[in-house]
Amino acid sequence: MILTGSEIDDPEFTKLLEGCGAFVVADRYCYGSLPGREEIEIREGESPLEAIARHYLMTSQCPRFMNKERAEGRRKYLRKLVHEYSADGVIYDQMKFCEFWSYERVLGVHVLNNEMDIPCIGIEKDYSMDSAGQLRTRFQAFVESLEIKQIQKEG
Amino acid sequence: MDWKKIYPRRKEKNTRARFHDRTGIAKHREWRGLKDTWYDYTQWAVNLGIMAQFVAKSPIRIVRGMLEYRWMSAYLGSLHWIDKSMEGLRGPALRVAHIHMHAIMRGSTDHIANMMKGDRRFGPTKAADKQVLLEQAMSTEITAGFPNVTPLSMEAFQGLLGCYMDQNLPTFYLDIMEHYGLPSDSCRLSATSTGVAINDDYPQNGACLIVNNMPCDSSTMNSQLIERRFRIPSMPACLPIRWEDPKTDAYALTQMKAVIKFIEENTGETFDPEAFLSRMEKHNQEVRTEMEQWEYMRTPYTPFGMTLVNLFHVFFYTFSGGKLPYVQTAQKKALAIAQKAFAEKINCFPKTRHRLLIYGGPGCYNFHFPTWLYNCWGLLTIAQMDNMEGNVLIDTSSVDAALVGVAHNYEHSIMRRHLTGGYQHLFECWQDAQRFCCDMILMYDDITCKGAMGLAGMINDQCKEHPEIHLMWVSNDMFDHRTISRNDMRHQVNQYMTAVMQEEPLDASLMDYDDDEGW
Repeated sequence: MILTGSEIDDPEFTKLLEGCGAFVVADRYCYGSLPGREEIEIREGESPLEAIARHYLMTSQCPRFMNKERAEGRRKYLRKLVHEYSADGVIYDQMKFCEFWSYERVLGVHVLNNEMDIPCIGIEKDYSMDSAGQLRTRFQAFVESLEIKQIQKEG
Repeated sequence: MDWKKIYPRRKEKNTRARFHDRTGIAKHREWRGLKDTWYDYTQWAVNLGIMAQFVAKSPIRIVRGMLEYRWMSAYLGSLHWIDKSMEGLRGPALRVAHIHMHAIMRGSTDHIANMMKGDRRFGPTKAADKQVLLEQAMSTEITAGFPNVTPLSMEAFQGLLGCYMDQNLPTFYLDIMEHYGLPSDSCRLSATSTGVAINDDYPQNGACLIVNNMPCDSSTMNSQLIERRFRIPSMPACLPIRWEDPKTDAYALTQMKAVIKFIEENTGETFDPEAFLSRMEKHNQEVRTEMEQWEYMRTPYTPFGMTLVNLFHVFFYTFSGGKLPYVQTAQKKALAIAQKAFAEKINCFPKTRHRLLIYGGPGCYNFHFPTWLYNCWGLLTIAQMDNMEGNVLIDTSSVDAALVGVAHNYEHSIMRRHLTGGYQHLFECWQDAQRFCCDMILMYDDITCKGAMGLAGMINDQCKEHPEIHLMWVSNDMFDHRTISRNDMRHQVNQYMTAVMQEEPLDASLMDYDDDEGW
């Protein structure tokens, strides 16, 4: 499973998901492991500060970058990750009250499921893990649906 | 609570008795004395003529639009809406309101007619190839250098104005978005606009679409969904958010030039610098007249007040910008009435007890709230936050200077200057209250606007530094009357006026009534 969406700092969330039968192979949160840890290139004649500013602007995957190419690029990047990490599905997470990820999640779930043929669900949760029970039910159902698809494919 | 027992009716009329309960449909027209009633009726009938002209512009396409688009049906309530805008008005104030209304009606119907004429859904049309769609809060100045291009608003008629006409219109689109997965705490305006797109209810207009980077998070995001449904080239006009810093001008100019190039590429038209500068002069005339109007709004003899003075400003900011000659005519006519009222010392709003400034994200389904505030409590709305939108005088000494001016004008649009975008917001409400000699601010608390919510505590804190100004909060859900109804909004005012101000209403019949089934 690949996780994407708002910031999640609580490892209990990953544990909860993995407890439902999924295995998290990559995460693409606001400050996740991808696309982080990249080299900041300082071009000739450029100050380090300018290089950092350019890096932030050019590499950020935050949904607030609104032009069509960047928005589509974020979904293509997810598709690339799905292939690279051999993932079976994607979970879009939106932290409650984050308008950026709310729209990104709604559209992303639609595009991944219907246009990219990648199984995907979207969840809205608090920053804390208050709604763990409801999430567990949804994750179990999602994992089950992936398993059924796998069985149907093999059959 | 029976308010009539607590505040028994005295000399005033039992105003609410004129309406059918729950629907708010009037049983008969308002009696304003022979002269004013006759004037009001004849001017109301002028709107019928404007609507007839509208249908005549493209009868088949307009009828098809009426059958195709749910939002167009909301405009069937426009005559009712006009009447509600005039409630309680007399003399010069009534005349100014009708002048403003005629300009609004003319501009709006022209705009909808252009949308229908250029709608590819009803068959191929060349009109669409010369139309440029602009996202809400982008005024038309950027298209001024293209005299053959028709600028169209992408979403104002489906969302904001539709909600003014019929409070039940946006709820349909909001439900669509919630079924689609959007949380119900998201901004109602952006959610409605997106719901229209998801329901495929936008006319298929335009050669291209220009969206913008509003400092409102949901407005920024909803463009991504809406763009997909238009299937025409689009670009975001990214304007500086920290617009008070002159260093941002160079970037703003680059963006304005990029937009012009984009329009040239998609319409096949060439930018005409002379036409552009000539239009900017006209834009400046509109702004200067508005500034002169503000001088009269400061006085006790102002005929400008309640709902339409605000809507007229929003209308000419968004749709004119020097483009529509009848806007200047309407401004001058209204100004002449104000000059006469001032010279003769006429109190145009005799019920006034407090002069009110309205700020914050409004409950758009309660467009006539200022009318009620005046008629029930004598709270005269002098200006609203939207009145401060734009109002930038553009330097016409060169094309580049004028383009920077156009960018500044956009940067002074609503939300950029106030609420989430403006770091001046907190200071400006107090300054504006003083500018218009208001002793009370009604601050709307739009419960889905997270940006404004973050400012609430600071506004309350600043209020302590302004003991001469009363601050009243009124919660609303912007486009969704099901959460906080019109009567819930009225109730909040009633509580403040009775408990804090310890005042009695002018008309107790208006204090508590249900109009939830009304348009």
